[in-house]
Amino acid sequence: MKKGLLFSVALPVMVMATWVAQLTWKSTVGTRVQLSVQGYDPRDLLAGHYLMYRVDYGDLGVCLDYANTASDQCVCLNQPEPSSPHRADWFGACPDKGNCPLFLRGACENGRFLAGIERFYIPEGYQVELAVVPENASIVVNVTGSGDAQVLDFLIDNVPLSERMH
Amino acid sequence: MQSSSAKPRFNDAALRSKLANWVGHDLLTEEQAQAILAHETSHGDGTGATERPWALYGVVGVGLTALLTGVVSLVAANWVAIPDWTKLTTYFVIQSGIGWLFLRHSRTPGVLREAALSAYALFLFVGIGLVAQVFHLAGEGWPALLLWLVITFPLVHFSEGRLIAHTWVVTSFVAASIWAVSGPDHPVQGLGVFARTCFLCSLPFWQLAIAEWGERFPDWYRELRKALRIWNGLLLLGVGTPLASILWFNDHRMTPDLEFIAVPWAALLAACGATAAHPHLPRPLRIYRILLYLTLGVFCSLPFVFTSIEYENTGTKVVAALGFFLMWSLAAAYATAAKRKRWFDIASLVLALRVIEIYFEVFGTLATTGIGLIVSGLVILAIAFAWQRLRGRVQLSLERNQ
Repeated sequence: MKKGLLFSVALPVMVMATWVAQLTWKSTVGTRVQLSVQGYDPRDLLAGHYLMYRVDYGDLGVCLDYANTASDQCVCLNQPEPSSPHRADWFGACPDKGNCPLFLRGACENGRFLAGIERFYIPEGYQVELAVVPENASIVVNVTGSGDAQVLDFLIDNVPLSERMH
Repeated sequence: MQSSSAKPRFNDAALRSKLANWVGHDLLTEEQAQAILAHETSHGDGTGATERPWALYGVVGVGLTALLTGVVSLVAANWVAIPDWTKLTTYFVIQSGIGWLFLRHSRTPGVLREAALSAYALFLFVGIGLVAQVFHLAGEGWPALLLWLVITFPLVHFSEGRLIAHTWVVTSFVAASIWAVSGPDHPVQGLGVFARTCFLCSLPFWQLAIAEWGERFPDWYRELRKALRIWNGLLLLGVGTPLASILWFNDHRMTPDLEFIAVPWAALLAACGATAAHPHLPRPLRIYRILLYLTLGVFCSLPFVFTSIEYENTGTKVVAALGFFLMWSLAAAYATAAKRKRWFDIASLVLALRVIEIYFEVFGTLATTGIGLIVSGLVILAIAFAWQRLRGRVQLSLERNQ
């Protein structure tokens, strides 16, 4: 009983610590890319505590043909110019991606490509100034070799949000 | 014997005098009198009230609340300035501290033990939210709730209070409901809304099956099993029966993947099997429960068998009403067999209200005239009178049985 009790109490903390370690690892290992974002009406009860946006993958029309759902889709990323945001240069089912060196894994939903990077938490004090996503906004994302991505920062005119708001 | 240094916490002399009197009249033995005296000396003042300094607790509580509010305000105001690692480390320190507090008092049943356990489990929500915020995680929310359900499941076993068990059950339904209505952001791809709804509808039956089957292990998850029975019973009757009526009245037939109806039926049969094999439940109660599950299953499934049911079809309304009556009558019968007067009151009240609703559905136009209103009033009074008589008879029957 005592071992069971100890395990029951330790399990949540161990799981949480493992989760944090995994996310930390994910944010450090991989390639950093910058992606343009655009605002849209989030219709979310918690809106104001985070920004929801649509990632601009360029002119390829990523997911536009998918009215409903399609999972395990990949977007191959390319940087047209050294300082410009990354854009999609290929889109399709992940098994067909070939030798794409840098890709995002996600799903199509209602014409949008979702890769789990469509949210950025902001301090409550910013919610008035950031009621809508500003022009020239972009996100910095870390992309692992398996296509998983994690948001690291939110930029306005290439300036990190924290610096910009100060 | 009470030590001389111990401060008496109640009218010790009066109790001793009474006990001596009762022992003298052979109402109690000397051992019983000593046991009562020992109990009262150690537990309270003999009147059922404890001598805890509630006023002091209140003042300390106000002070602590003010202090905590100040700290929270300070932290919130400087939230941006606090590095992520500081936030996470602080969280883990607090979480572990609460866990340590619970472990320290785990052998002593009481408020402190339960408060520590509840705080430990609920504070995990804070941790999950904080991690999502620090790492900017997106999603529908149900994976976060699922994570909480999984990591707290072993803890629920050790809870002797109701809070965590009921929170666990409610969270399971919230998570399942979000999953059922969310888009493709879930691991099981390609499921339509109907299929996901079928999985959602199967959850109460699965949980009931687990609760009933768990009766074989009475010391395991005692509070959770109670919570599962309460919430799922409420859901089946309080949500299942109106839902079934809506399905019968709904003239917009979906084109569902009918094979997914097998999912709630599998769960329903599992619940029936677990109820039939219940080790302690009397046979009539088992039969009523199984009949209730089967009736609900048939009542909810049949509308999908008929591809077209017109809303204005009187036959549809009659079937819907009959199904409703059958289920709530079974619920009332179960309450009587289980000697639960309050449950019987609720079931019979629902039935009475449904009769009134049907009356107004059928004779609603009469209510616009004076005579019609008088007749309606008389019908409602007659139903109320009949309901009261029925309740009285059941109460009498229950009192006789007891």
